[in-house]
Amino acid sequence: MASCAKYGVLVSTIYMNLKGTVKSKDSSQIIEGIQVELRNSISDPKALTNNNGVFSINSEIIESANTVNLHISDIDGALNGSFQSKDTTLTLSSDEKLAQIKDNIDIKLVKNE
Amino acid sequence: MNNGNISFKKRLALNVFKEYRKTEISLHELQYLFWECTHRCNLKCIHCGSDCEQNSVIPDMPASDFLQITEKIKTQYNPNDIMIVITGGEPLMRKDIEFCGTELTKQGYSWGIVTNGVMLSKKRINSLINAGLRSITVSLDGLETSHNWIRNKECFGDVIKSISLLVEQNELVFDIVTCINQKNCVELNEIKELLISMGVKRWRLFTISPIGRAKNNPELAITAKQLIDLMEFIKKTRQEKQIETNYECEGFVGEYEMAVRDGYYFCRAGINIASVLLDGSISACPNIDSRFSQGNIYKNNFLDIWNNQFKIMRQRDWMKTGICEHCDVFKWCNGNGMHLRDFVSKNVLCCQYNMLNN
Repeated sequence: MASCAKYGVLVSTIYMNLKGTVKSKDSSQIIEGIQVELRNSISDPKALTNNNGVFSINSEIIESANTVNLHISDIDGALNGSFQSKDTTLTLSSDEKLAQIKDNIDIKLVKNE
Repeated sequence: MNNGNISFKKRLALNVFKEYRKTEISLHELQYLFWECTHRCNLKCIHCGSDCEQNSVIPDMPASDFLQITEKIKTQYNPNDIMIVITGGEPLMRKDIEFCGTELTKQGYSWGIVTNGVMLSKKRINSLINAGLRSITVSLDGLETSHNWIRNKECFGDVIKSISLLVEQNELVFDIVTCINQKNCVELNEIKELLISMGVKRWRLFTISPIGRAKNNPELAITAKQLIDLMEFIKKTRQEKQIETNYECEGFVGEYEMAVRDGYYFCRAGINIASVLLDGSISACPNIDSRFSQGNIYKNNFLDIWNNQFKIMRQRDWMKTGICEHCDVFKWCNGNGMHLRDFVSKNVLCCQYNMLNN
């Protein structure tokens, strides 16, 4: 539950866990060390992909939100390969919101020339 | 002021939070939109920031004027991400709140109202819920005598009745706000017990700002000692975990940050918060001095104003004046609440950190 203004009302929020994998678009190889940032949440949390290319973000989002915006960026430079940043919008189904989990998010990044 | 009263650990955390705030300022996404839909009010509270009364000379804003703005906002923002807060005056004085709410819901927005609770009935609550109401905040400013004193009317019983009705609802996010003043600050424990016994789950407290009618009433502002007592009370109540309690975004409170509220102090006025005021003015929170307004919906495009104005709220270095000029904690408080800034002198009207540490 969050409120952001004096004389305002509380904003109804839910916790969501977002899980997925980041791969190279060209080779489908998993990528380690990619930063995934959830943009339209209460706190804009970030997570890095592990050595299996997997990320997991727990965050409080506005209950009425039917989409989440992810900003994906390669922050470790040439280490693990060099990839272009990407913004993507994911739709949340009512079942996913009820379960408070969205998994199997598949993100593909284009390699820098 | 120096920051020596804040622990090393908290200073580190505040420095991290400062970076988050910078990002939020650069993104400046609209998340919260107030609509001051009327100045009419069934009460005449002695602390009213808008000087509202029953027969306001300013007519209510036509619902269609506001709904046109929210429709345009959809061209840039996902309405799911924005909370519309209908405020007044007393919004329930309008008979078309349900119509407006239904239209906002159709547009994809969540909406809520802030009310004095006097006009709520089971029937009205149901019709508001059917119109898509998601969140409601009711003011309770003390036990019977002190509540009626500040509200300038014998209305405590009506508010308690409304709270009882809202507690039964599962479809609404509902909380109580209490404005702390000289009279009710000695009743905090009793108010807490009352709310817990009624089944209220969430309680927000704020202190009176020296603005609106309140600036001319010395009985309203609390002393530094009373502010410390209030901080200790909120801290203890939060530890007890019987009722979610928060100190509202009134100001930066130094070492009490995170102990009295869920997040660090961050005045989001003009950064994530905008308002459409009764005369069409585009501002941030409605209690900010109206001379800080950035435009008017009847003359300007709302999104142009939101995207390109509001610089004084996003870049607040100009607030480094008066007691803020050489203050060590400015980097964390960023000049305290925008509603506490005097338009003419540019000085801060009240500094909670200063009160807590002097």
